[in-house]
Amino acid sequence: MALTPVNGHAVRPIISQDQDLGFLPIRAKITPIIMVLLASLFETGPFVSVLSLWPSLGFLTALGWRLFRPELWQAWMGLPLGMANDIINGQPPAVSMITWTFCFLMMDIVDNRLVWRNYWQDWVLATVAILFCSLLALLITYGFKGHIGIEIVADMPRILVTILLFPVIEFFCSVVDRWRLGL
Amino acid sequence: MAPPRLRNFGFSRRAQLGLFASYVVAVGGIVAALVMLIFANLYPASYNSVIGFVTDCTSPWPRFGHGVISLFDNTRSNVGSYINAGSENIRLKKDLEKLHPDLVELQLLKADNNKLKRLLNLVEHTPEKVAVGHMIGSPLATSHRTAIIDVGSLSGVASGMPVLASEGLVGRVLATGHFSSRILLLIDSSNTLPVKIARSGVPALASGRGDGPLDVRPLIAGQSPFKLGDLLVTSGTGGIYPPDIPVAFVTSLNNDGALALPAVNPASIDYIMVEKIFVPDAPPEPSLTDKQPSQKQLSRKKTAKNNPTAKAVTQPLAGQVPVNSVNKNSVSSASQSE
Repeated sequence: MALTPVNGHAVRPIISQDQDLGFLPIRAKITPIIMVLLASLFETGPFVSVLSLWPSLGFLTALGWRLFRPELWQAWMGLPLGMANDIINGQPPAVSMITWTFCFLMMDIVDNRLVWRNYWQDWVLATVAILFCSLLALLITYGFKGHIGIEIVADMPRILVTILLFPVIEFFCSVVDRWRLGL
Repeated sequence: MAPPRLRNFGFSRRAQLGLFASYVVAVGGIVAALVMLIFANLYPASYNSVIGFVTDCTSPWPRFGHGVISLFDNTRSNVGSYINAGSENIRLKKDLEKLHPDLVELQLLKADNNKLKRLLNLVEHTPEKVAVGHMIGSPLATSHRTAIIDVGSLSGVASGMPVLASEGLVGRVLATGHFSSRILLLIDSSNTLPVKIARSGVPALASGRGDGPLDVRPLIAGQSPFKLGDLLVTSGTGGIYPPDIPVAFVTSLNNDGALALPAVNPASIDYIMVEKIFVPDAPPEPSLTDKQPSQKQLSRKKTAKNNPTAKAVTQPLAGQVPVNSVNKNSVSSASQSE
């Protein structure tokens, strides 16, 4: 692949060959994971709220990385990240594990079908994923008890805020991505 | 932008198998998580040590945030009260004058109440405080309504203990770390507790809905016993929660029962108190008039008398034990001991 010189300097390729992805420096590999863990931590706020309006930052960040860099993680990465999100937020470690991994598997299928990707398509995918995962999580948590309808209605503001925040998080991911790859 | 076709590994057999293996791991992980979920539902306490440990690890962040928030809040309220000091002083003096007759009446009522209790041979429940702490934060994005407090097992907190604020019941301890614990709030959907109407003593069950108010169902058939504005207090039935702690106020009636707003707004409390798990006594057996009270019962009564701070509570369960029998029992035993 020929590189065109800009201002006399040769442009440094991000990754010279696709196969070299496995040999990224440790910083490049670990940054997205730390970012998701930090986002999970910031789902716990320093106050108590009766109505949930806070976005699920952990899931949003994981989704942002998955859509921004489809080659970054394999589908099983949802398991450890989801488990960490569950335990950090005081739930038994299962709900996020199931929903995140399921979501990543679905994304793989969609990636194989779609040829083109753009901004709006990413947002639509994220919307579907957030809706699906939130409802699945509610169903898993409260499926066998009453109040599921009330729970869904009570959770709607949070889901809406999460969907609206997705472009911001993906932009943030792209900024971190440049730093991560040393650009 | 076309997505990078990196998942297509071409004809490399090894790479294809690796991709396949990753899918097997993912699906296997989902199945394992389902098993974990069932396990967590069957044995709710099984992950508590892990959750407690992680709560300890992550509590510095909410602790710091809480400190910053309370600093700002204190400054704001201090400035406000400085400005309003004069008018507030006048208002408070007026209130004091108005309340003075009530205070006298209250003292009379208290004395009367004590006398009646002595007559009934009831031992007052003395709340056994374990620790006092702050509510420092809560997970905001999960449908599980929990909160974090800044006291843990080093202060004697154990899972299951009731958590109170000055206005009433907040919830119970779910998992403990060394210096922080996680509590389940009343408003959580998985929370159900036995209550009674303070006005009439009719028992009911209150359960959280997840969005703020509690669902209250009467335990007796027939006409709805609730009225708007009724105070619901814990009944102490079944243990854990001590009796007579304010829980909620009835705000609206519906076909099945009523909706009640918790007496404590979890968003606005700062200090909380953790109490010991309440262990109810066996209800007093209604003794027949011609039979003498058994030796065992007598000895129990004596110990209760010698040691008034003992946690023995003889709470006549509302609507279950007729007051007459208790009265007779206590009178007969009193005459015997004399």
